[in-house]
Amino acid sequence: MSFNSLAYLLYLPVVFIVYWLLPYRWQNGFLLTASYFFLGFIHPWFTVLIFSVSSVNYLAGRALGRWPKQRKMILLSALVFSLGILGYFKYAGFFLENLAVLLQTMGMASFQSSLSILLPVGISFYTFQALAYTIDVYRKDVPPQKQFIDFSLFISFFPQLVAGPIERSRDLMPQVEHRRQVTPEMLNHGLLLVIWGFFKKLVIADNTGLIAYKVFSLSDPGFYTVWAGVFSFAIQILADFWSYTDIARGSALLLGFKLSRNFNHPYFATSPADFWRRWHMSLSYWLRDYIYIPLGGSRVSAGRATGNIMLTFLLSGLWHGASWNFVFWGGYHGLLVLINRWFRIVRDRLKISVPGWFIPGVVTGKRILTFLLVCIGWLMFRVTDTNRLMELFQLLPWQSDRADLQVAVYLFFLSLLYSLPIWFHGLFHLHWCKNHTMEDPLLDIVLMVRPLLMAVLFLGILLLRSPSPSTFIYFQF
Amino acid sequence: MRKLPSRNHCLYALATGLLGMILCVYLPPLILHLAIGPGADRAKQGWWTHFSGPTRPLPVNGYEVLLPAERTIALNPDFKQATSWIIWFVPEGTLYKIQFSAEAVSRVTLDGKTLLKASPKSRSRKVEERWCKLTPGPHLFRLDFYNKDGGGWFSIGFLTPPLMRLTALQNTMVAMPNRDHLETWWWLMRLSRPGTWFFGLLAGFSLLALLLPLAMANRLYATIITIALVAAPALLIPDLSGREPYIGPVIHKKLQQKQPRYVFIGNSMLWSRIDDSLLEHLLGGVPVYSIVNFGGLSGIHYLAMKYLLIPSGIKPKRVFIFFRGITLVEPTARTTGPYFETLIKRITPATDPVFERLAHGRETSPASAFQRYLDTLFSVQKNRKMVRDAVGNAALWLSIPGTGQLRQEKRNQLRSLVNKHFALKNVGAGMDKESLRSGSREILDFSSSVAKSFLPPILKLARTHNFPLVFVRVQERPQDNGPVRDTPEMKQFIAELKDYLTVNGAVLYDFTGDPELPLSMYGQGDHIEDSSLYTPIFYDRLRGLLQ
Repeated sequence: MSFNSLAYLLYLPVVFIVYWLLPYRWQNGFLLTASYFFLGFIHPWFTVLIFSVSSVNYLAGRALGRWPKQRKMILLSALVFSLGILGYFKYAGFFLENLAVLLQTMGMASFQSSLSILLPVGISFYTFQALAYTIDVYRKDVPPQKQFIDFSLFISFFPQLVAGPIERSRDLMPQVEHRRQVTPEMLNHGLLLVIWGFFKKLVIADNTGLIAYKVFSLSDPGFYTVWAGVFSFAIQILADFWSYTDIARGSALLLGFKLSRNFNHPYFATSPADFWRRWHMSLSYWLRDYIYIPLGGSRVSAGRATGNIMLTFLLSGLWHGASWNFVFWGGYHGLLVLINRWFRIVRDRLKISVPGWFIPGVVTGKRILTFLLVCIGWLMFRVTDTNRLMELFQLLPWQSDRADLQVAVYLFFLSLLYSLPIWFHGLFHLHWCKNHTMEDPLLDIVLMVRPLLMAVLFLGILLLRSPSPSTFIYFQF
Repeated sequence: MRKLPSRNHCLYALATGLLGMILCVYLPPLILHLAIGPGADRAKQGWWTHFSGPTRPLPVNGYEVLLPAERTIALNPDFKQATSWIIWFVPEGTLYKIQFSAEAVSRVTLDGKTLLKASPKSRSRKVEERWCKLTPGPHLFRLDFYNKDGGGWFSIGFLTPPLMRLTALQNTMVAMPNRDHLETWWWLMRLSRPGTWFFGLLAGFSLLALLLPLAMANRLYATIITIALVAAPALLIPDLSGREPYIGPVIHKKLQQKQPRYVFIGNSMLWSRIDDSLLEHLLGGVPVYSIVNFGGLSGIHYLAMKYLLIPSGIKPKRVFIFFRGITLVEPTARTTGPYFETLIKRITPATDPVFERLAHGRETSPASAFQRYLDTLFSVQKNRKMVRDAVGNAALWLSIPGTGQLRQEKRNQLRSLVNKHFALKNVGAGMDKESLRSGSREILDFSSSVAKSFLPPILKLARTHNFPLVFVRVQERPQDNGPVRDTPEMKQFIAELKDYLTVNGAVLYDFTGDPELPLSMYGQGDHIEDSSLYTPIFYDRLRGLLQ
C-alpha cells in the first residue's frame, strides 16, 4: 500500500496498537506478517518474490558461516540469484528491446519484443539490502543471522520496504534482534516526521509535480517553459522521495526503530560529489562500499579511478530505471563528479586560495551552480524518450518569445512558493549546524513550538494539498 | 534527542491552544452583543454607506451617506467603490435565505464571514443566494461593491419565515452601526473562525505531541480528548449556511402539472441544444420537460433521475439522457467541489448510498464520513480554493510586482496567457489528447469500467420504473470546420457502449459526424450557439423515437 493512501492511515495505527500490546517475542512475527500484508496489498504475488530473495540470502548467510571453504561459490550463487531476479524483472524488457534494435541495425533477423513484465514494487531496494547483508557476512563484517523471522523482517520491514532507505545489517539487524525501547521523544519525533513527510508529499511534491506534468505534456514548449518545468520537477522529485523517507523514518520511530537518513538538503550541496553525499545517501553509500571501493576506488591510477567513478555512476543511473535516459543521467553525474575532481586537483596544485571575506560568496555561488547542473540532469531523468530529450536540449533562449518567458517566470514563482518550506528548512539547517551537532534541527526544535509546527503542517495539508495526488516517483524503481 | 520538558510546560502549551480556541469561538457573539449591538444608533435605520474612488477630479475623495434599508442601492457614478454597513436585529433564531445581485464585483459579509459574492463572471446567474441559520440578536452586515467604470447598483433581499417572502429589512429591525472601531471589530470577527480552527488544532497537537507520550498510562483517554478537541470547534460554531434545500418537491409539482411525454436529462450540452417549447411545437403540442443540472455528469444524471423524476410519479414515454465522450463511465467526474456539493444537496433529500459508493469510491468508510462531516462544517473545500487561489495570485504578483490598475491588468493578462499556453490544443507529446479531454485510457476500456460506473444503476432504475431510455451522445466541437472523427479506441468504446445499452433495453443515438452540425453552429466549447437551430435537427434524427 502507498503511504499517501487512506489504507495506510488506518493500517499504521492498527499496527502500532497491536504491536505495542504484544509481548516482545511476538512482535517480530507480527511485524513480519504486517510487512507482508503491506506488500501483498499492492499485489499478493510480490510477497512470493521477497520471500524467495529473503530465503536465498538467509541460506547463503548461514552457509557462509558453516562452509568457509566454499565462501566464494556461495557468495556468487547468492549474487547470481538476487541480481538475476532483479535483472529479469527490471531489465529483461529493456535488454530484449535493445537487442532487437541492434540486430535490426546490423541487418540481421530481428524480432518484435512483446515481453511485458510487471515490475515488483521495491525490488531494487530490498535486493540491494539483501545483497549487502550477504556481502557483509562474506567479508565477516557481520555474523550470519540465525533466526529466519528476524532476517526476513530485516529485509521486508514495511516502512522502508518500497523506497528505502537501503539499510545495512549492522544498523538495522541489532534493532530487530533486541527488545525495542520506545520513549516519548521517539513517539514525538515519529509523529512530527510523519506529518512533515505528508506535507512534503501532498503539498509540495504533488503541486509542483502538477506543474511539471503540464509543462512536459506540451507538444511544442518553449525554452523558458521547459526549464521552469525542470525546476518544478527538481522540487517534485526531492519532496517526493524525501517525504517517503520521512514517513518511513517516522513510522519506524513509532515502532521503536531508528532508520538512517536518506537526504540532507541536497540542493544546498556545494559540488556534484557533495550532492551525492546528500541525495539518496543510503544508495550512494551502498554503491561506494560495494562497487566503487571494491573496484579500487580512487587509490588506483588516474585512468582507472576515472573508470571506477564512471562505472559506479552508470550503474547508479541504471539502478533507477531500465531506460537509456537513466543511463545518460548517471553518466552525466559521473562526468560532473570527474570534472569537479579534476578541478580540485588543479586548484590544489596551483595553490589557488580565496580570501576569507570572499568565502561565503564563493560557497553560495557553488551551491547555485551545483543546483543548476543538477537541474540539467533532472531533464534527462524526467524525459524518458531519447528523441524528445534531444529536441528539448536543442531549444535555445532566443527562439522563444516573450510570452514563453512570462509564463515560465510565473511557473517558477508558483513552484518556488509551494517549495518555500523546504528551502527554509534547508537554510535553518545550514545556520543551525554551524553551532550544533544534531542531525536535524526540525527534530530538535523547541518543544513548545512543536505542536504549533504540527498544527501548521496539518492545516497546510488540509488547505494546500494538490487536487491531483500522485504515487511516489521512486515506487517505479 | 532532547529530553521532554516538565509537565507544566506541556500543560501551558495545551492551555494556550484551548484558551485561544475558546476565545475565538465566543469572540463574534461577544463583539455583537457587547460592542456592535449596544453601540448601534437605532434612530438611523438604514445602510451607512461610504463612497470612494472618484472617477473624475472631485473636491472630495469620498463621502458617507445613510441610505434607506431598501433592497436596491445605487452607486453614485462619480465613484467606483462603496462599502455599506447595517445591523440587523434578528427577531427569531431560524433559517433565513439571503438573495443578492449586483452589477459589478461585490461581496456580502455577515458577522465577518463572507456569505455571497457577485462578479461579472457570475452575472449570468443573475441572483446569488444562500441559506443561513441566524441566532436572535444583532448581526452585522457589510456590502462591498466595486465598479471600475463608476456607478452601478446592487440589491439584497431577505426571505424571512414563516412565508419565506422576499422582503427588504424592516426599519424597526435595523440600525446604523457606531463607526468607531467598526473595521477593527469586523476584522476580529473575520479572523475568529480561522482562529478557532487554528487554536483547536494547536490544542489537539499539544495533547498528541506532548501529553500523549507523557501520560502513557492514560493514552486512551488522551486520544479521545485529542479527537474531541480537534472536532470541538466544529460542534461549537456550525457553518453559517444550512443544508441547501431539496428542490425535488418543486420539480415534482412541475412535472405533475405538465405530464411530459418525453423527459430530457443532461447538463449544459442539453440546455444549449434543446428548446422545449420549439420541440413541443414540432411534436404537435406533445409536452416535453428538460431537467438540466449545469456541469453535471453521469452521477448527477443518476441522482436527477432517482430524486427528481421518479418520485414525481409521472410516466413519460421515453427519457433521453444527453452525454459527451466517455463521461457515462466516469463515475467520479464532477462530483466534488463546492459547486457540486451544493448541487447534490439540492437534488437529493439525503445521502444516496449508491452515489457515495460509485462517486466517492472508498470514501464510504466511517473515517471518510467523518472527514466529509468536518469538511462540511469547516468548509474545507471552499477554504482550500481560497488558499490555492491566493498562492496563484501571489505567484502572479511576484511575476509582475507592484500595485495599481495597470499592474493588475497585466497580471490578468498573464493569467490568461498561462491558460492559453496550457490549452488542450497545445498538449500532445507527453500525453494523449483524448485521455486528457475525456478521461484516461483505462476508462476507454469499456468492459472493465462499466461495472464501476453509474450506467448499471441508471438502467436498473429505468427497468424498475418502466422508462425506456435513450442515450444521446452529442457531437463535440468540430476542429477547423472538418468532420468530427473518433479515434479507433473511441469507436471501439462507443460500439461496446451501444451493444451494452441494446442488451439492457436502451437505445444509443450518436450525433458524432452529423453533416448538419458544422463549426458555425457552435458557441463556446461544445455548446451550440442557438438551440432553435439544433432542436429541428434533433427532431428530424430521432423522429422514430419521438412518435
